[in-house]
Amino acid sequence: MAALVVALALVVALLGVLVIGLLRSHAEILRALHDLGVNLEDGVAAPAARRRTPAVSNRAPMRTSEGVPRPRDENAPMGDAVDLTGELPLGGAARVAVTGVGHATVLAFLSSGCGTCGVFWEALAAPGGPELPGPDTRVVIVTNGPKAESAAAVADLAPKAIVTIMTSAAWDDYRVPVSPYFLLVDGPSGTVVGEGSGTSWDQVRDLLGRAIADAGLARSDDHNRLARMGGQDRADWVDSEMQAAGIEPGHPSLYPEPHPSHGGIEDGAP
Amino acid sequence: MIRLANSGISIDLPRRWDAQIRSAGGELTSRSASPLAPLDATPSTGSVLHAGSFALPAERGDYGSGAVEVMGGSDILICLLEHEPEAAATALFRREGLPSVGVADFSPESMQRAMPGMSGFQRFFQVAGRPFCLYVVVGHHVTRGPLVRSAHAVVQTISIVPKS
Repeated sequence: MAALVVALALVVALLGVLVIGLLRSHAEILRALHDLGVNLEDGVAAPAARRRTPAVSNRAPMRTSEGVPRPRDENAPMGDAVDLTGELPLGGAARVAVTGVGHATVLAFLSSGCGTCGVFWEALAAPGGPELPGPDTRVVIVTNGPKAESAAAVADLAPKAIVTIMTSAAWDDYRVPVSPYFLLVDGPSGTVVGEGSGTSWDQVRDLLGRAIADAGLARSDDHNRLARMGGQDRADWVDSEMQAAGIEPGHPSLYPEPHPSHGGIEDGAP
Repeated sequence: MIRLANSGISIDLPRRWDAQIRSAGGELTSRSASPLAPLDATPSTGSVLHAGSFALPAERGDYGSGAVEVMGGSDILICLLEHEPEAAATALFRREGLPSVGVADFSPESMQRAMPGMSGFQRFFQVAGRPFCLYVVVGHHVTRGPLVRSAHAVVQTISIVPKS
């Protein structure tokens, strides 16, 4: 009898420990959900609405891989792009147009001092150049100006085949949170259509490639490409198409005989 | 118009234009290391201005090799190269002041490196005792009229001051 009572007490104690553990785990889950903006004590009337609206909390801890900066507030608009004016690492001044141009531009905001940036300095200097996120895309490296960066260090790191410009104003204009950071500018519209960071160029390229697809910038056919062209780019395209067809300047087909219905009309005739 | 200035040289750039002014002694264009170098004439030892109506590639020769290859038919490239100060005393640089850029002055034969359809212009001059070569390329010789007029308008915004 005594043994039975002892065994029963042990079982009760064990179950008590189990219940306490479950309650503690439940409390931790509730706390984590609360941190993510989900409050189960609001009632049961609005679970569908809560599902439709992503939970947002300023206190929610954003987690990224080590060395990867946190993205800016996802609700903040990316906005209009601005052209770049700055200094050259080896002395001189530069102006890089990214708005109103016919191509997209990847702005790679890098630093000579950050560890993660080293991966991108190397990737962008790879022989043959880096694989780009989309067709007709230019990469420009942007560092802080010489007051905040070592021009000599940047000059050592800068790939020969990629324009590198030093301008702290661009970091302010684009509200770059930290380096490394990448923005994709759509030239024709002059707007930022994608941004983010990663631990490798492949990650960033995929990220920006999705931004290109989301923004409908993937110029997979001539019609789409032509529709987005400005006047000069369109003229270039027409020239190249005609040259490919063997029609050079002065080709007879460009100067057809007047239509018979115009035969009796001379310049200046009434 | 955006003004870009360095090394006593400034230029007003239309929208969509790229430009770089390399200080004397800078090696941005990798003249000696670049395979593009042999295509150029004697490289400048002074400041170099490149302005283009298109995305200027990072690797360029002083006379625009590397850039003219990616120009379109309606593009313009302006190169301003400063020479050794002693050259100002030579007959080649006798002309004073920025030259006018006229339609009749352009010729495919004036290209540093012949490119199909393109046309070039080159003049030597000095301003404030600084000797320069102005080299301009337009993307299409036959339809060069409006391109040359645009190039002339940009060239006329170039300002050069004496070296301090």
